[in-house]
Order: sequence, then structure tokens, then C-alpha cells
Amino acid sequence: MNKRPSSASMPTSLKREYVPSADDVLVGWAQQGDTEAFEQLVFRHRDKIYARAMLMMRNEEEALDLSQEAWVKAWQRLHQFQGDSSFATWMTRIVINLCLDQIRRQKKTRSESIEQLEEDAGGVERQMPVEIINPTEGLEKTELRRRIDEAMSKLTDAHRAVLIMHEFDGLQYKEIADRIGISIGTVMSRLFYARRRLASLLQSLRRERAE
Amino acid sequence: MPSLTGWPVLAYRCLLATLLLPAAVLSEDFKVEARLVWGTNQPKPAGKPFTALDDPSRDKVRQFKWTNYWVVNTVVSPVPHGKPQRVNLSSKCAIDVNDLGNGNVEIRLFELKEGAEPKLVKPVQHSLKALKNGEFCILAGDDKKVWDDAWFVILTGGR
Amino acid sequence: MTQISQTIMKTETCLEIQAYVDGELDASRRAVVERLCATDSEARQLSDGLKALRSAVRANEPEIHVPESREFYWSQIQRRMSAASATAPTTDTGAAWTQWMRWLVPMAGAAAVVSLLTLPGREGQTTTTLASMSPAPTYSAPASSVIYRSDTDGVTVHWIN
Repeated sequence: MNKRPSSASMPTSLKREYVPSADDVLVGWAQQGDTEAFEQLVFRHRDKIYARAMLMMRNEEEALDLSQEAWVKAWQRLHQFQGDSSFATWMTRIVINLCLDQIRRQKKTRSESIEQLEEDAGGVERQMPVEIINPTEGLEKTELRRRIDEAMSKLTDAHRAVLIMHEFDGLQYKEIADRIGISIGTVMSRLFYARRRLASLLQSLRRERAE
Repeated sequence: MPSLTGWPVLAYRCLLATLLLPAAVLSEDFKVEARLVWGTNQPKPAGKPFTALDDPSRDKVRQFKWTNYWVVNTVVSPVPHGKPQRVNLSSKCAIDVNDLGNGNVEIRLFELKEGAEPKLVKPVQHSLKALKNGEFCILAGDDKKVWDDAWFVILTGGR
Repeated sequence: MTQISQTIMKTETCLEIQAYVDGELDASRRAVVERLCATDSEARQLSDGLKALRSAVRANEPEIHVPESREFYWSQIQRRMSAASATAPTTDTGAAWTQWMRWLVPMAGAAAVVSLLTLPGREGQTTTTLASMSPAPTYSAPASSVIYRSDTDGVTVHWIN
């Protein structure tokens, strides 16, 4: 069993024992109150958690606020982590829930996009031709990532949330439905609309670059 | 009867009569109407006897984003002094209204669950005079089951 | 660039093809969709397009990094952890109010003014819209809430968190 080092008594060079330790070891130490172990977890996963918040909120200040809040909640609930999933997955769920709560609060005002209203109304959009492009063709990876990021920023909160949870977090329809509080049918239609819109945006970006 | 304050005699007698009347009598003449309203972009569900919120009331909630405000239920609650009477708005929520005797009424919102005691969710206070003058006191919150929807309890002076 | 599929397909069919691509169908429905894709070129094109898009998006999650130094980011978290452990786990109407401001005041820096929840007729009050509110004293209650009021409209809203 790994012995938790006492940072006060150990030589500086041995404090690096945190660095090579696996997540489950660090979690075990952190659950005993070792904040240095927790800090190592934060350092290790901060980009991923921040990135998730940034993708959801599209606002740096909010993403920083929510990602930090997620770490605080994780610290408070560390005793609940049983290792059923990876620590990164567990953290991702915490930050996603915080983002969903925040989006929900922000949706009180009349700021819904026309796209959202049209999609909910099931009007013209439902009858539009389906056009899905193959976006990988001829694109270098860095450029493709940048375009995907740019296209995602143009989606509505509702569509982007479903897309992120499905594509990047690997959640199934039912898990997404339960997390957000919508029907599975709504998850499916939002995901489809998000994908179609994403493809259309990527197409538009491609044309703009070509001109 | 001579006027003690310089007021006309009739006015003085009216004032005395008003002061001598128990407060409960005054308040019990006044009732509060509570409407449970569903804020949503969804159309009215088939088969449900909901009605659309009237235009003057819609104007009061115009800052909110929803397209539709369906009145799920309307109840009238007395405003006694000291012993509020709980009135159910639905199978899941209830209110009671109490005249606090200081110019304010207290409205308490309860959550109802089968087999359990009603749980106090929120007490709020509002001016009795304001309600009598037609002001709106609204309690609201997110619909826990539907992400985009909200519930409202709209309280006004009884019609 | 491969541009795929230009047709008007029933939405339900599209969603089922999507569910097939996402592995959400049971065996019987999966077989139905596979037969459809084998016989209908447009259905097959949609299926192929969705698979390509799905693979591309999953393989190209945007790379985003925390825009703060390790030390600074951690110091912020530590501060919050200390504050969280120091305060009682009661409702924080202050924080809730800050978040509520984001609902009604989308522009940064806009002030919100809420008048006290008392008698009306405070002459001279010029609060005209729900957007121009300020925090009002909240009453102790089991649930936290944020109150805003419009004198002009004669309405007070208690939003219960």
C-alpha cells in the first residue's frame, strides 16, 4: 500500500512522488485530506475540465468560474468517488452539471435564438433537405479542430450541450436525457439538428476560406 | 357629541368604528386569488383544461422568455389573522395566506407529497394594501422535470 | 469534399438512422435500418455522412488550455475551498443573486436595483423594468430565492432556487 508522504518531513526531491502516482493513488491520499495530492489531480486534469466548461459556456470568465467551482465540489464530495468510473470522467460530470445549471439560469431571459425556436416548432427545418458533408477531406488536423471549435461556437446552448455530452463525453441518449431533464426524443432531434448545423457551418467555413 | 379633535363628528364616529372593529373581520372580507401557471413554449396539451393567462397578467411577466403561460388552476384563499387556511393549488403544492396585522400578509408555499407532511418551501410577505390595489405577488421557479419550463404562482387580490 | 445526400427524408427516418449510427437501436430495429441503407441510396448516404461527421468531431475535440498559471489557478481553488469549509451549508442568497444577475442583465457591468419588499406608493421610485433591479432583503426561509420588483408594473417576483 502506498504510504502517504508527509511533505514536512520528506526531502524536497521525494515530494515528486505525487507526480508519477496514478489517479487512484492520488485520490486515495486526497480522500484522507492531502491537499497536495488533490492539487496534483487539479494540475493533471485542469485543461480537460476547463475545456469542457469553455466548450459549453463559450465564455472564458464563466468557464474559469465553473471549472474552479467543479474542483471545489469535487473536494467536498471526494468521499463519494468509488472508482466506478475514471476520476476524469467523474470530474467531467461535475463540471457538465454545473454548466447545465448555469445555462438553465441564463435561459430565463428572452435570448433564445431563432434556430432554437424553429427547431422546437418543428417547422421548416423539418422539411429541409439533409446535407451532411465529410469534413475531414483535405483538412489538416489543427485546422479541422479550429473549424470544429468555431462551428460549435455558433450552435445554440441547447444543441451544443447535447453534442458535447454525446460526442466528447460518450454519454448515451438516455443519460443525456436524464442529465438535462428532457425526453430521449428531444435529445435525438437536438443532436441531429446540431450535427446538421455543424456540417452546414463547416461547409460555410470551407467556402469562406476558399474565396 | 362634541368633536374632540376638531374633526367633523361623523368622521370621528367612523374612525372610532373602524378602530374598534376586529382586524380579522377586515381581512376576512379580502381574499387572495392564486393561479398556478405553467410557463412553457409548448402548446396546450390535448385534453387538459388549461387556459391561457389573460393579457393584463401576461404583461406582468413579459420579461420572461416563455411563449405560453397556461393557467393550470385557480384558487381563492381567505386572509385570516392568525390562523391561515391551507389551500391546494395542485396535488403537489399548496399555499396559505395570513394577515400579520402589521400591514403585511404572509404567503407560504408548501410542497405536497403523498403520505408526508406538507413541506414549507417558502414564506414571503407582501403589503396587504398593495394587493388590494391590484399588485401582483409572484412565486416562481424552474420546473424540475422539464429543463426549459417554469412554474408560477400568481397572487392577486381576489376578484 | 464529398457532399452527400440531397433529399427530403422523413424526420423520423433520419433520427432512426442517426440512432443506428450511434449504436442506440436494438437488434430488430438495427436490422431494419441496415436493410433500408442497403436498398436506399439516400439513407445509406445519410448514414455514411453521419458516421464521417461523428468520427471527425470525436477525433478533433478542440484543444483548450486554462489561461492561468498553475499556481494562480490552484490558489483560486484553494481560496474557494477554504471559504466553502468556513461557511455553514445554508443557502447563499448572495451567490444566487450574482448568478441571477446574469439572467436579467446580460451586459457586463449593468446595475440591478430591487426595491424593498414593502408597501407600495414610495413616491418617486422610477424602477421601470425588471432589468433595473437591486437585491432586496430576503426573509429567512427553507429555500433560497431572489426577489425583484417593478414599481411601475406593480409586480414582485420571488424566484425560488
